[in-house]
Amino acid sequence: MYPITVQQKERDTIGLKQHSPQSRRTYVLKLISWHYARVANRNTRLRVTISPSEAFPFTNCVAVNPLDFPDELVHILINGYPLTVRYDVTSLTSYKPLV
Amino acid sequence: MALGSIGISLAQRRWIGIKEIGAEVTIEHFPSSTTLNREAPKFAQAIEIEVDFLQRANGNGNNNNNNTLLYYSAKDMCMSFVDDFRGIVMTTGQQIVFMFQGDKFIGTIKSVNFGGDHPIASVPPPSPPQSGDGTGIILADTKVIFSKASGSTITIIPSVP
Repeated sequence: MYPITVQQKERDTIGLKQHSPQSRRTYVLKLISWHYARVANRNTRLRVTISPSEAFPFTNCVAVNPLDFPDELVHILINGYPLTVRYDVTSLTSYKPLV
Repeated sequence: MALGSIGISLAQRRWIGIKEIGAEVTIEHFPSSTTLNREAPKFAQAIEIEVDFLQRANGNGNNNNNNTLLYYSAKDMCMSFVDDFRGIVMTTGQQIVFMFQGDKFIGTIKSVNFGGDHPIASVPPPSPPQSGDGTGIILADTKVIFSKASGSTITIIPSVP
């Protein structure tokens, strides 16, 4: 799902020390391009988790990370079903999901 | 919310057909060039929702032992609803949850009316919905028509024109 893992990032960062500033800049530009292409396409796969709080389901939106969706209140299809995304601004607390 | 995760409520997971937490789902932009039959969501002129209690503020949902008022003004519910859900999409057949006057309700979208040349999408679409016809965006002037779910103890007082 994610082409760059934390371990890969660390390895690449270490590797960058051996590269010239030019190739390092190219790498960063490629990384930014990849991120924006991913955001623009949004044809990706995400892992399902429960709503972040007892109150969140009452928004009738799905909770996302802002890095996955830079625009809040955008409409998406989840397995073909339309829903609206909203940032999770609540802290994750232990609760028994009612809805 | 962790990067790469998406928080989906129980009602939404039931509607989509997600059986377990941790499952992977496909996310597409709406509308997407890959979903050829999908139109961009239109603004809903009116939606019809069948409602029932999920949980009352001072008791459990839909029980008759509660002596507090079971009557709700349709006009007040409509105003509260569009205020809470302005800008989000709702689809025919979708289960939603909402709060009103401290009580928690569960509703099923029975129809979405777009007005003008667009027909009323009143039949629950097959799963998943194949076109945008049953999906509308709630606006401040969207008319919300509440009806009582079968077997519910709720009473909705209709708006006087």
